[in-house]
Order: sequence, then structure tokens, then C-alpha cells
Amino acid sequence: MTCERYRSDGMRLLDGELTAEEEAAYQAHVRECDDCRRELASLGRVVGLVDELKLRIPDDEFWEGYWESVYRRSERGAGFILLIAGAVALLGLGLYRAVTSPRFLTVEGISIALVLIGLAVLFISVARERYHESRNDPYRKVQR
Amino acid sequence: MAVAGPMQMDPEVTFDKERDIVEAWKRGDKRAYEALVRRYMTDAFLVAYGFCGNVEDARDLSQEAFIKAYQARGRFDASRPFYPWLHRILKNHCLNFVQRGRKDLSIDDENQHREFASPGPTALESMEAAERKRLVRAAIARLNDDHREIIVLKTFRDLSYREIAEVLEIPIGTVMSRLFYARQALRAIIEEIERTGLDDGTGQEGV
Repeated sequence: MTCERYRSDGMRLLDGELTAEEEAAYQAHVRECDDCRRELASLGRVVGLVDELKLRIPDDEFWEGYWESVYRRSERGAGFILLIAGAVALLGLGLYRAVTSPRFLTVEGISIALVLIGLAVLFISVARERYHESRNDPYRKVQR
Repeated sequence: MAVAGPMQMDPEVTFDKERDIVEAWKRGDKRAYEALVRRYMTDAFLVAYGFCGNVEDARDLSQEAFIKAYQARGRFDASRPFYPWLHRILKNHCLNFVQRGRKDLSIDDENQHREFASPGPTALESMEAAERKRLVRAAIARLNDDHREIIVLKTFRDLSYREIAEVLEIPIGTVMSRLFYARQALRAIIEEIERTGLDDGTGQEGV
């Protein structure tokens, strides 16, 4: 029962979260209790092993260009959507004009129409893929 | 770390000031965006490193989390603290990245000089340390998401229980019990790996 009372104190001691009074009480208990002493040593080993993975905070050189890259890539996202929307609109208009042109049923007219249809399919495919990614994006639900 | 521009923030910025900046960021103010990124980039990077174990990937993941947040800023309630929201985006992004297996979870050799190793280890000590780190990384990867997250915050951000409670928006008692059970689980996994080797028992801890 006494050990149960000190169950989380070993962890709090290692994390520097005990008050001086709590620490004194815990240390007094550990001096008398082999089980808690072993538990503390075992937990201390785990904490020590994990702490070996810690990083130093990188120096200024590491952060050069960090913000600029975030901003450029943020802008690109919006730019990409506008580009796709505009390209699809232009391709649709071009296709409409090609089909309604009196010269449509010529080799040139059909070739141009095929190129425009191919480009439109590619743009729509990319747009659909991005939409699909965003629909399956787990952080889209992250909101307040 | 230098912070440029008129929206510079004191590291001890109060919540009200941060709210002003977040509101400006939501309106698309570039300087506010920069201020937020500069304020939280180190925190985000360290958390990402905790999840992925690789400096370059951590830089990319943390940047991508800022971009995701920017794209979703319309859904953010500016009356709430910003960092817990960013943290959730970052955590999901990192977990996705790790689960997609884009990178092995081992420690990259080139960043070892950045870590808190004792100066001047011998070659043998370096090899042993690298192996130990690989083992612990593998063990952390087998924790469930909640346990991995709290180990990352405690270890790589070096946060107090109160600070972890603020980031995760949970009571401090929950922080203590979650961290306690996370370490118990981690100890069991480490012992299992030490018994069976890294190639065995690759299953994740039960949730």
C-alpha cells in the first residue's frame, strides 16, 4: 500500500517534478524499500536511454531560408489551384472554338482538338488527385 | 535566433498579443505568418525530429505542417491558443509520414554530431551508442500514438508536465498517467528487443 502511494513519484523525481517535501518523503521511502529502489533504477535507465536521442537546437545556419521556403510553398499551393482552374477554362474555350470552327473537320482541326482534350484530361486528372488527397487528409478534420 | 520584421514577438509574448497576430495571419498578413513561423519553428522541428528521427525530414515535415495550417487557417478559432492546433496538424503529418514508411526510423549518421553525446567518444563507444539509439528508436516506433507523442514532447521538447498539458489540452493528471504508462510500455518493448533482437516482434503496442 505504501509503495502504491509512491508509484508515480519515481518518474516525477526523474523529471524534476517533485516538490522538496515530496522528494524527501520519496527518498526516505526508497532507502527502505528494495522494490521501489529497483523500480527507480529501471525507470531511470529507460529515461537515460531515451534522453540519448535528444538533439541540440540547430544553429542559425540551419534556419536560413526556413521561413522563406514555407512562404514560397504556401503561395505555390494557391497558385497551383488557380493555374489548374485557368488552364481548364482556357482549354475548354479552345476546344469549343475548335469544334465549332468550319475548319474543324480537317487534319489540323482534329489534331488541335485532340491536343486540347489530352491537356484537359491531364489537368483534370491532377486536380482530381489533389482533391482526393485533400478529402483523405487526416488534418482536414483538425479544427476548432 | 534572429526574428525579422515589424511583427517580431517577444518569446514571452502574452496570449492576447498572440491572438492579434493569429487574427492577422488568418486575414493573410504575410508578416504575421512569418512571426508565427519564426516563433514556433524550433518547437515544430524538434517534435518532428522526435517522430521521424531524421534532421532533414524533420525540417521538411515541420515546414509542411505550417503550410497545412496556413491552408486550413479559415477553420481555426483565433480565440484559442495557436500552438496546440499546429501540434495536432504536425503530429498527424509526422505519423502519416512514418506509417507510409518513407524513411527508416534509424538515426541518420550525419546528425550524430548534433546530439547530446559526450565529447570525444572512441570508435567502439560511438558504435555502441549508435546501436543503442537504433534500439530505442525502434522501441519508440512501436509505442501507440498517444504514448509516442508524450514521449516525444517530454524528451525532445523537454517540456514540463504543465507545458505538455497545455500543448495537448488535457489535465495534468492525465499527462502524468499517460507518461507513466508510456514509459512502462517503452521499458517492456526495450527489454523485448534486447531479448529477441531488432528484427523480431515488430508489432505495435496495443492501443
